[in-house]
Amino acid sequence: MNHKPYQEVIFSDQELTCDEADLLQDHILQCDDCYQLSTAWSTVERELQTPQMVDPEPGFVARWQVRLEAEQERRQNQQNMIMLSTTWGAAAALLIAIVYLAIPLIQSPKVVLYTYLYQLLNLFSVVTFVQSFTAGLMDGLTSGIPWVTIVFAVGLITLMGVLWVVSLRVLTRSRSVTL
Amino acid sequence: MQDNEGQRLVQAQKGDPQAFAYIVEKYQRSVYNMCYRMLGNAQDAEDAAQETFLRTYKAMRRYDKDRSFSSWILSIAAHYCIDQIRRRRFTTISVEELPVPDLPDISPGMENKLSKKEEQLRIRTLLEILDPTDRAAVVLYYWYDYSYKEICETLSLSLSAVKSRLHRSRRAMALCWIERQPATVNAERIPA
Repeated sequence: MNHKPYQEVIFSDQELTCDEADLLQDHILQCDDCYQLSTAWSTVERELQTPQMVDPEPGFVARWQVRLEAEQERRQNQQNMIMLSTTWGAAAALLIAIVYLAIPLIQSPKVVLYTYLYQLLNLFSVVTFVQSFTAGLMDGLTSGIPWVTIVFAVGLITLMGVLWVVSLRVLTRSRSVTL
Repeated sequence: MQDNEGQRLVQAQKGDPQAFAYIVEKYQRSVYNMCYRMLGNAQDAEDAAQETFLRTYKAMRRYDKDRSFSSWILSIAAHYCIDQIRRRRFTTISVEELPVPDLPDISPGMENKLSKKEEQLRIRTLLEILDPTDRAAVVLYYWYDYSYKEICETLSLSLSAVKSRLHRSRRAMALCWIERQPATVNAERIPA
């Protein structure tokens, strides 16, 4: 005997037609397995439909608020720890780099000192060269021009510069908007 | 009432803790009951319900207003409980070894209290044999009167999967019932 279609009907939650119900009833009266299943499922279904909703213990919201605060504090501590470890890590890396760079200095300080002094002297010589070059250039440029023209040009450039700065400030000033 | 809840949801999404406290107050029962039915004891249910609200609070910004909030929060609870049950399987103990949960008693009589406990234990025994996802589907169907479609949305399953899971669960529970009480079932046989 094929029990499958009957068992499908037993566990279905669809409304049965009269014919289907009769067929099922006839089968159940002849078949012990399907009878047992049908009876058991009816009982289980009743059990499932009987119980009420279960309530939590009183004060659930207050307990949740405490838990939320604890969670927020834990997250804050976690973030602080991450921040602290990052800072400490960066500091350690910097220290290692400094030590690494300082090793030659510790091994031969004289050579390093002479190198720095040489670089400093070179810098002075460059500055002196730039100064003499600029002075020569200015002498060459201004020798043929009368002093009045130079003063006028400098005055004009200064005036235009002032105007440029003032207009820039006016244009970029923040304005209050009223609706 | 709905508008009020809608306003609270919007406020909670903006991070207002008072508005979220209102949500906890309102949904504590349904979330706790879901966790209790899934996990089978009061202590685990309390932890799971608290964790559900914590996760909901963190995920509030991602809540889609077009979706029912109730089904969204129950979805979070169900998935959390399913994960817990799967983890718990590594340290399985039988139902008989577990203490009978202390339920808040609303009935005055001792008999009523015992009967309620027995009823809870019977149901717990039946639910325990089910796969966690099947259990969630059964709980949503019988305790929350969810339709197949709502169960689909809550558990992220297809319609056919929900139907087959419920069918399989009913069969499994009936078989479990026969195994545990064969004498009773056979004694009630009506002669043909």
